[in-house]
Amino acid sequence: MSELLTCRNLTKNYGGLVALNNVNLEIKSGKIIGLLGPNGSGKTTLIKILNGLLTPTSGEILINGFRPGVESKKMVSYLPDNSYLNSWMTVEQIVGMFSDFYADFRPELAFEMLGRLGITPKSKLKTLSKGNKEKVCLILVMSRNALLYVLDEPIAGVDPATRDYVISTIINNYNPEASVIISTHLIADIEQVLDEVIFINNGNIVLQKTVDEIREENGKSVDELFREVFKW
Amino acid sequence: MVRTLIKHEVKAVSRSMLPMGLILMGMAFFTRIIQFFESDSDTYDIVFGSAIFMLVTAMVVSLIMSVVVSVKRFYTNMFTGEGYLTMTLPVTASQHILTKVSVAVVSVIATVIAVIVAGSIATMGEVLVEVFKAIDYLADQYFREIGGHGVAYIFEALISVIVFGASQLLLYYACISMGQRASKNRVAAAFGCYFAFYVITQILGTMLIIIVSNGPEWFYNLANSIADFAVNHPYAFVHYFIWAITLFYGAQAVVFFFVSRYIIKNKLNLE
Repeated sequence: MSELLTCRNLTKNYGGLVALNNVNLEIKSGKIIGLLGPNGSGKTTLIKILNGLLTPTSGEILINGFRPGVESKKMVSYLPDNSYLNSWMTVEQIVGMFSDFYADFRPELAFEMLGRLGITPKSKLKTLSKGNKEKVCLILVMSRNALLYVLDEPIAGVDPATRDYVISTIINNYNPEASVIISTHLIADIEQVLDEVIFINNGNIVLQKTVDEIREENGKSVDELFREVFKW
Repeated sequence: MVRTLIKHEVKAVSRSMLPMGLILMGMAFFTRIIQFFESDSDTYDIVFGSAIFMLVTAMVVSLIMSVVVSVKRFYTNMFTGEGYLTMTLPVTASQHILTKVSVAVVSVIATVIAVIVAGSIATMGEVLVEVFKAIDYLADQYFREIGGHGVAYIFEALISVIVFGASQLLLYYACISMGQRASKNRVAAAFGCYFAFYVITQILGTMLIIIVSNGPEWFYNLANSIADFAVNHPYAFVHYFIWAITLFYGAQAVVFFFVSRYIIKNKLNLE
């Protein structure tokens, strides 16, 4: 398996605050990876740099050999942790927009998933409930045949039933040759789908292991190890 | 990809500008219809006066809105929550900026045309005939006086106005982009950048006047040569003058474009 994501000495400072501290990281394709850490640990900063939304202070990040830019954006399907779609647009218009811009977007899959949820394409986003809005965002992201899916807190702030929906949507729709990075601090909910985990704290990568290694070497679940590592 | 960007940009801008255009046309028709009930009564004078006032207000608001909507669209679409989608599209910074400025220029031109059409609707009938007669008379005088140069002047002046408009929009974009370099209060920082640009241009203008008034001999000779050329070849001089202004604002537009492009491409830090 080739390296899909490489970080070399990646550092990001916000004034005096170090959000990422000399991060070195390699992620291979074909895996579901949990990017796990407490609030403010640097998860979102790393993801935003990966997507070209933040400029690193120093160091380098490569996505399939490309720095964040037009080529990397063709390969990365990104779900931000905030509401980012135009609320005045209808679901159909947003699907059309994704179809126009992303060559790997599968509109028929998006409409099928929307139909299963009972969301009509003519609905305006602003008329949807918070949960349905988040589901629409996830459907759009997972309807791409991307090389790397980056999901920032996809299960935060949603009810347990929606969490199950989110996780099953990820599992059933991602490109098997791709990798999925899921950032969260709700580990118990996603642990069963993860192949690998990365623990991040205060901008430092403190652990990168497969889930099997954690179980064999530490004799613990990921959730238990997380609680141990990040114990106050 | 630019065509796709333009398609979505036009949709977004139209969403704000089309209702304003409809209000403008509605006001124009209302003003015209009132005139069918013309009488000497005070009521008519009040209603007609109010209609004219509302029409003129709608015209001014439309023109201001066309610029404000375009500038606000650049900010919200690039640097707020929407930016998370905009900036992750597989599109270059140059394509984003060029799309925004070209759609904004077309939007302003369309608004100017809508204002002219609304004015024509409101004055349709005898008044409009008189206006056309006056325009016809002035055009006749204008072309009789300067011949074929007249058409070229109008064409060149239109290009100059469009380039000036684009340079102003790109200045706003550059200020908004520079404001993004601040760690907080980014909108205030953008206004600060605009104010700084204004102060710097005033200082440079003053310095230029001082240099001109105390300039070296070669400068006086150059100025005299230009003045002689203007006297001996007035029609050609006007062409050169308009093109000089166009090039000046065109050069400004290029600088502002690259400032925005540099920040979006190399220094982006979405909050």
